[in-house]
Amino acid sequence: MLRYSAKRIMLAFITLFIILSLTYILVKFLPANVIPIELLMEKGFDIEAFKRQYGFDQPVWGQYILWVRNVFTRWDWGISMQMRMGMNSFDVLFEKMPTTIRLNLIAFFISMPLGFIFGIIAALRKNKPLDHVISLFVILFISIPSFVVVTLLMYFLGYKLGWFPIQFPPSNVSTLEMLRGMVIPVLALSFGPIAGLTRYTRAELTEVLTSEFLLLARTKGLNRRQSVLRHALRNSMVPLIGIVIGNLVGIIGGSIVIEQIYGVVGVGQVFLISLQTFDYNVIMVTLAFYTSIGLLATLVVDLSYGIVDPRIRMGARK
Amino acid sequence: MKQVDVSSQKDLFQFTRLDERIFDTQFETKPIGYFKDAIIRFRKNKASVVAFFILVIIILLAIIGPALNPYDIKYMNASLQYLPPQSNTLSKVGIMTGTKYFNAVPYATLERRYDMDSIKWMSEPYEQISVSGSRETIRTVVDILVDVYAEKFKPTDLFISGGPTLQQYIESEFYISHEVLEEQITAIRNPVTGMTEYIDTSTYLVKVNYLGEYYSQLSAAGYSFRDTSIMPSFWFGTDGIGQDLFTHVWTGARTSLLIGFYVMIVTVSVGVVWGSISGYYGGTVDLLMERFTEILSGVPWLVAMTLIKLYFEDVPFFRANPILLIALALVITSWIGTSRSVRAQFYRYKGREYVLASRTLGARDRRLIFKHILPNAIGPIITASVLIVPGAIFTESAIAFLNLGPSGTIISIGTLLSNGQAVLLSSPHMVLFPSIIISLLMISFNLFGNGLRDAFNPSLRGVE
Repeated sequence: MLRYSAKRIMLAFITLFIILSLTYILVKFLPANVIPIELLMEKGFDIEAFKRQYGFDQPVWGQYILWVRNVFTRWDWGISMQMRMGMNSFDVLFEKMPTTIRLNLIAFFISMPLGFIFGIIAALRKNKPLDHVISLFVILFISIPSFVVVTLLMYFLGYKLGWFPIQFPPSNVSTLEMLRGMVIPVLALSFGPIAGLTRYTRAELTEVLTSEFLLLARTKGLNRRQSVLRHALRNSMVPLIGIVIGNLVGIIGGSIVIEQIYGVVGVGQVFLISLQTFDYNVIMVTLAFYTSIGLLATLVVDLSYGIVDPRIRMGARK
Repeated sequence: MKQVDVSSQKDLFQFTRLDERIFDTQFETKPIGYFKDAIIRFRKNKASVVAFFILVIIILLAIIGPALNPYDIKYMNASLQYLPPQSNTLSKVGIMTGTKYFNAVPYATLERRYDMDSIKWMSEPYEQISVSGSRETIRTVVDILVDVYAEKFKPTDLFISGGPTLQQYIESEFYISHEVLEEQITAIRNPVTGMTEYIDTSTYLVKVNYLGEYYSQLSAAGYSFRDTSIMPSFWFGTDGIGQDLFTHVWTGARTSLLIGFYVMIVTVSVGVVWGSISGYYGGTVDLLMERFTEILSGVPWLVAMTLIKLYFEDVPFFRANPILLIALALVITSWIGTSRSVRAQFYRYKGREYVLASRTLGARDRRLIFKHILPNAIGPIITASVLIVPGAIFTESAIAFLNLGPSGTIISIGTLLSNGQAVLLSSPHMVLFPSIIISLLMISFNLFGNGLRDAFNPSLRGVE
């Protein structure tokens, strides 16, 4: 297991490195003005000296090597040239991360127990009216895009009823105001995962409930409640752990679309603005961020399957 | 039990069909193949069948929808911006009435700002206190429900000239009859509403009884009438520059579906070819191809879309076909799933005895791949390809929301939603209709796909 894990982690790093190298070179080959206009307007500004200082006088390959060396040796992702002139681009991103993570963590801790509970209810009441109702909502919320959900919430809860603000409040408002502002995005971020988790829990539990060892448990005299709580639930939770951990990793990236619609100043906004202003270093650091989140989520899910069930080796050779 | 000696009682038995040659009889039932079997199972899944019909309706509307009303995609009339949805038939049951609700309108200036005839409902006037700085103002306001269409299209009498018109003659007590001398009806464009109106400039001969009978020849130039059959009725309302939303929504649905289908076609063809080669040949080929897909699958769609937009946006081909640019970005990673499932099927079947037998008989690789192994993967491929479409539509909309798509004039569900989002509070209809369409599309595609999966692979039924 250890060897397998080490190999998977190594491979993930190599993949990340290759993707980032390709992205860096592809982004760098694009023509764009890298020097901030404010500096160009200044009197006595030495363009050549500036270019030399940040390595812009070198060809793309030279800049690439410099960039890799800085990132690896000093964790220096270069400075932001447009968004926050002179600030380390990693800090530009890091600064906005708490908002995104806070929102997504709350959504995670709301959706996880609810998903389990609805899934368990649906499985225990399989093919009864309650199960049909839950299944209907599951298919609705899995299908309806989150940006439609957030729009509806903004219109009805925010505008018509006036319970919550229709835009994410700025960071200087009171805690109560902040909490009110979080309700709509948290709801929008929760519906999808709740539906997904309900579906998986229901599927897993239904399978376990029809298995022989549960019949044995009933035969030896346990009542339905005991057999479900002590045997079925525990066994059905096993495969779900991977999904839950995967969700947890995925939330750090947040939902860029919901952030954009609700005006949340988060990681997504850093990415979009850096792209508009063509801030090379910030673009690279956000792309690195999103790519590593994606790779990490896959990796964690695959590894957790292996831990839960040692027979599974995702991605292993035949 | 009593034993009976049959041989001693031969006369009890007799031979039947002794002089007949006996063949295998034809099956009386019809043979049921793989697809027929799947269709039978699919039909039992009511939700999926309903979803399938909804899909068919949406696709049909996406094709013919824009032609169902008189406004084409280029129709634009800035004076008709943000009209709410209105339908002559549905307004009778109380929806799509073309009315709009205005909150807290100052009571004093109400008459100046609205045509009183077009106000359908008004609340009791109440007082509203507004605070600006240290100043407090109290105004009397009302909530009103305005028939926006009546407001916009209040009758305008154009070119009113002196003298009685035909209508006035007809309505007068002296009128007896009239006949047309020279028919002439001129169509003109009303500068306010942009609608075509008809001016009757014919010459009539009117017979009146005014102190004895006499005829009056009359040129009815003062008389304009409106052809009520073309009274505008924007079923889904209009957008910010007065374009018809109904036409736009269905055109957008067409674009979104087209993107979905383009992605599906490329995904399936690339995925099948890649997965087949990788799975069939195995070994080093497989190893290299797998590493490649692994790296590619790590690229988030956000990154793919960004790079493709930055690189290819100005290529003339993509300028002409901007939706292909989005399709290209989606295709980059979408084929990997298909290729993996095809590869898995190849690993499962390539060592089977029937394949070995065929190989021994001299079948070439191509025959083994396409005739013997690939058909095993048909079920998963069809299911996956159906489920690719909603995924592509979803991602396209997300791209539109983030403004990452090609800057141009794509009309898709995503761009409509994104445009409507900006005026969500004042004109919710602009978000409502695209939202309904995209939600219906996603739900029906998912239900249809799930139904197909259960139909092609009954062992999976009940899972998920």
